[in-house]
Amino acid sequence: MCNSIKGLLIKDFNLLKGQKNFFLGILVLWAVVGVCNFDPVFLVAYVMMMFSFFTLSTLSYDEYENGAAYLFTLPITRKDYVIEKYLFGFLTSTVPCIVISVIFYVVLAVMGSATDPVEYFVGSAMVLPIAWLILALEIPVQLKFGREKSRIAILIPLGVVAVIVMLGVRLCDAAGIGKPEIIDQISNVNGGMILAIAAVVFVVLLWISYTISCRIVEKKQF
Amino acid sequence: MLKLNNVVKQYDKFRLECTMEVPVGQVTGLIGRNGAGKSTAFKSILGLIRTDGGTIEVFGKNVNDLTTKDKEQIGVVLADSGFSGYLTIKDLMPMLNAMYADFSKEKFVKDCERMELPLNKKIKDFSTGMKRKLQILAALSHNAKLLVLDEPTAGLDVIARDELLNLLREYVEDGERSVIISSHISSDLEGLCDDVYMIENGKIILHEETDVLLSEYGLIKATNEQFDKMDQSYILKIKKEKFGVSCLTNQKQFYQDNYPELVIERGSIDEVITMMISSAS
Repeated sequence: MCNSIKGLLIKDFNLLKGQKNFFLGILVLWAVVGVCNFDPVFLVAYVMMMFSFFTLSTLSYDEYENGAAYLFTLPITRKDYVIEKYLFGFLTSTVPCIVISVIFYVVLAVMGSATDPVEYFVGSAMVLPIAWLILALEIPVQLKFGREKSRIAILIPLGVVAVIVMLGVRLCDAAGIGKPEIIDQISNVNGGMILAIAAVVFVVLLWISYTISCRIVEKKQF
Repeated sequence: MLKLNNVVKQYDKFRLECTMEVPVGQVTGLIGRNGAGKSTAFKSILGLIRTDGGTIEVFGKNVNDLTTKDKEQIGVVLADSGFSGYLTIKDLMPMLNAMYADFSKEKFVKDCERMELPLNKKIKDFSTGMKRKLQILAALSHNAKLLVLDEPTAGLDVIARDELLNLLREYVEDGERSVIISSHISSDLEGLCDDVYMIENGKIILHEETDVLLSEYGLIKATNEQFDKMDQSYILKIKKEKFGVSCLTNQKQFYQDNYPELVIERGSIDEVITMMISSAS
């Protein structure tokens, strides 16, 4: 790994370390939710989403008191900065997901209520791409609009997605294609094929997000 | 080491037009009022803002072509920015260690202790002076060849200022390193800089070696009658006063020899700034 990205990761993990109280808060809430309704997949998803938001908070910390200007005088490129944010987001969502999934499985096994491991771990892992996609949406938005405005700005892409889905449903209705038919058609397609298409779409979306983020940071002036 | 050639940066109501050079082994000062364009010039040098014309060369390369290896050779203090306030000095060290091949942790810790900077306190809880000290120490910690220091002594008390200026003097002693520095405190620059550029409204209005400025510039206080009679060939600026006129000259000796009745004060950076920006030619 290049030294600049390593240095930035160290900075962000140190920023994360400084959020001990926030961590404790999350853990308490998480424990309460867990006691009320012990659903391992939900609990893994909850922790992962919380962790992935740390990437966004490090963006805010970088901007605090115009700190980003100084950051870019250090031996890093603007591209390094963007790569590091995606990498940090990937690490802070994936590692807790794996650790907690394994812990839960061991707990379930000890309690004698362990389910099929493949089913269990696939269930947990399904949450990961969703967390990454949320990050892929939020990182460029926050880079562009900053912390305050991005709270409003994030509603725009979400709104666009909602409108597209709604229009899609209406169009299908207008074309006389019913939902069960679509589901039937999807079911007819090979499972591997669906996974492959989903993977390609996923990678393309991540790449678009990364490219947009690079462009935003390249254009920034401090 | 550093060259700005006709650099232009256009904002709505401000335009920077700057040509200047910092040779190897030299300490160059940039002086001017608030809003004169000092920080804009520094940010151009550091590639933090896009310029609208001209070229900036650092280490003989266009500033946009600098690699991270090149950037390791630049130490920076910015007037309005610094390390993230949510980190401590202890948090910074592994980061600096990863980023700079020549980062000396032992020296950095020793310097921080000498400057009484707490290693475990969040930087946002530091005073302005402490933040400045930290930035200067960080800029000096990785054996940089070029220091770009925008207002490094702002917010420091007299003792800390002296201490840091001594550190800077030691740093450039080997003659291999260069510094460009801005400051509001002209005595900082008089004791440190080899030459100074004066900037006003985005334009360089004066460039002079500090020794020349201090020894050959002077402020003549003349009555209107004296002023009318004297040779005005070496007068740079004049300013109307109650008693007559104040004149800035870069040939103090000439007037001392030929007009012994005139009151001529020694030139200082403060006097020159005041005259250059507040009077008409």
